[in-house]
Amino acid sequence: MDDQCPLCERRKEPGSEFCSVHRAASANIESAYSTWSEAYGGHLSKDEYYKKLVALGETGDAVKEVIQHLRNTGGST
Amino acid sequence: MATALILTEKPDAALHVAEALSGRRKPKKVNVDGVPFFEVQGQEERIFVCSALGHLYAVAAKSTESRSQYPVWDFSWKPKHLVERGQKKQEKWIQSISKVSKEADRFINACDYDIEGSLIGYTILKYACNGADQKAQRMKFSTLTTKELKDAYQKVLPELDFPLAYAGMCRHEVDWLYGINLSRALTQSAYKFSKRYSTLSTGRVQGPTLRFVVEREKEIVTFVPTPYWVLRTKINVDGKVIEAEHEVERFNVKNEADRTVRDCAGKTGIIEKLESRTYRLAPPTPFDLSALQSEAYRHFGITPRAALGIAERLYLDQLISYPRTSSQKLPPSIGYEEILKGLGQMDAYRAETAGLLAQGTLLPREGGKEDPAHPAVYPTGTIPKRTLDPREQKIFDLVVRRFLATFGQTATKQSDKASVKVGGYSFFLRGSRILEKGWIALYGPYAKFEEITLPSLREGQQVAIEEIATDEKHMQPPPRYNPSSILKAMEDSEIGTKATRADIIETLYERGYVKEERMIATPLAFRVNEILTKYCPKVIDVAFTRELESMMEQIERGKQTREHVLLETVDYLKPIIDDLKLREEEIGQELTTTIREMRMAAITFSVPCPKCGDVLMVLKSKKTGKRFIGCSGKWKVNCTFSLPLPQFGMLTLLEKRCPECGFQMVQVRSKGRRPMISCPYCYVNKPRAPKPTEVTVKTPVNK
Repeated sequence: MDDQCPLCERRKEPGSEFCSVHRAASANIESAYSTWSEAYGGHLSKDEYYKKLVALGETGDAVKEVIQHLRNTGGST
Repeated sequence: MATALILTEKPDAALHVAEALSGRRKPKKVNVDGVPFFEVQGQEERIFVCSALGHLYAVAAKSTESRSQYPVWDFSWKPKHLVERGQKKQEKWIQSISKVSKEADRFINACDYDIEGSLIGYTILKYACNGADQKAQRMKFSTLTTKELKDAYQKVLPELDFPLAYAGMCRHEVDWLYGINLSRALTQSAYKFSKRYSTLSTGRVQGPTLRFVVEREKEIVTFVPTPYWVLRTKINVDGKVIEAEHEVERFNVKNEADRTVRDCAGKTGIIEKLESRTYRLAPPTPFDLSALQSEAYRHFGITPRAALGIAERLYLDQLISYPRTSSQKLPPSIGYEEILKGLGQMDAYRAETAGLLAQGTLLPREGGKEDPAHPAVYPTGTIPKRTLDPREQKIFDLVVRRFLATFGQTATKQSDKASVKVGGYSFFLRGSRILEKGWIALYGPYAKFEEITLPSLREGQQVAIEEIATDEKHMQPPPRYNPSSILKAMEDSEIGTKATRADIIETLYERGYVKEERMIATPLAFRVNEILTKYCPKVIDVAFTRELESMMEQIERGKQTREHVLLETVDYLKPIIDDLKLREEEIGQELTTTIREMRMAAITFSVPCPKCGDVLMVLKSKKTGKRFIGCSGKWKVNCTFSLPLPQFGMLTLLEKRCPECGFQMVQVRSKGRRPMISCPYCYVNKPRAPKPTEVTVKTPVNK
């Protein structure tokens, strides 16, 4: 279905490629990047950032799913 | 001679009332068509005491149309056996009470003094005793001790507590209108689309409670942790190594933490300043039900519903006062000294009670919350007449120690802080100790304080950095709710009542909306919450639910009428339900996929078959009807792997793995029992104790 989120069975939010949960996860990934980058002195690539997030137990499942999706599709948040 | 009929809520309460009123004689047990009554010969009247079996009447649709029909707005109170399954006993009870009531000239409601108790008595008197509610009287008590029951009988209130009973009626009716219409709308939508029946429910309090869990789950699954660094520092003070804190609790930039480590490693420092502060720790307030449930979960892992059940058993055994209370007050009329003397008869509390009685004045610390019907939960001072089971013993001890602690002296605690300067950096050494135990000694194991003693220190003393390193940490997602913290959230938001909250939490589990003790919202919970948010947001709006609660509380105070609240409810619900009915197909479609996936997920193990690697599932034997773990490889490679499962209770496949063998753990929840978690693989494969050696004794043969 066209209106289905690519990561779960929920419907896409208007104007987004994701449902409400994965859209929130995607927004959180985007907004936290600057904090991570600053923490590492501005030397953290997005790839390294994703790698670190995926390895952490605290990272939410929906966040890991969005990262996997971004890696598979070559997209960015 | 006149005849009185006294109604109690539970059989134990009936016995205690009968014993209290019969003086030294034993009450006579009489059987009326299979229902036990107690007959007491009073000085001026013959008294029959009978217990109800909880509610004997319930709200039901006026018409007897199909159970799937909705909307339903017309209702009446009907005998419970006519509207609910498995209530056969109730029919006999109604008939017998009705029969005895024909001989009675006087009627007394002696059910628990709260909304439910008042309603139970009111409906029986009104419907089974031919309108006796209008002339009935009310006994008011908070413990089932002989003294209090006699007193309540002598000072019986001239009429029923109608505002309380009407508030109870209204609560049942409003909840019924919400529950029946919204739940049928969800269930029917799913059924019409999928042609498979699955019970879905929501309600006035259930909806907002589910929303709490779903919102929290959403925060957790979308959580992105951010890093920070802390210093792990140890300082050597005259050969003694002590952990120290750096002035900066968290470094948000790694380089800054690393620089501090480089600058301080191997350096010496000086104690610049020594400070001590003394704190006063006031005794705890007495237990209201929520605080008791919360402490029972914190110390023993007993769920709120189980804690209430145990507390009610202790109340029926005359050991504690009525537990369904919101009060944090202990009025002098309960007789502090007498209770302490009673408790002093038990070895476990002898020393503590003697100490309190020697204090002279007894003044408990009270909280701000009040309950017009009952004081806070307190022990009666009665010694248990039977051996309490371990969980009853724990709750009893908790109630006793909390009661004792409220009379205790204020405790004092000292906290010490030494500031250490190393170059330009500041570190702190911290210690704390209890100076005067006060109430802490009375609360015993339930008041835990960690004491850290610092060695003798002086200003200007030289110390050395023994070890310093950085640790990378990450911000944590908010914790999942557990049965105790969700209860607290409901209470803080003022939704539900002390009597219903624990049951609502249990329903969330039963409907498959949440799983595991740390409550994980399932996809179905997300879906139901989304549908309610989309089509009827006010139903899960906490503020609206609270507004309704407040209207119902006003009925209790006689400031609002039941009719008004019911009209408001129907006016509000009608357009919502009509709209849901029009959108059945849309909603059904949204629910069906999730239900299907949930059904599959609920029976599919994430660990593969140890024999063939295929998927393991919960299956049912066609032959015996028993459930077991089977391998889907059976249909492909004829894999015969199987494991037995518990046959009773609601089975949940947990995410947790067995620490012994790594197999997926399962949980079984049965009503009124603690959830049981086990590993099906270890259950079969664990080494069993060898059977005792059989000794064959040869029968001597007489030759």
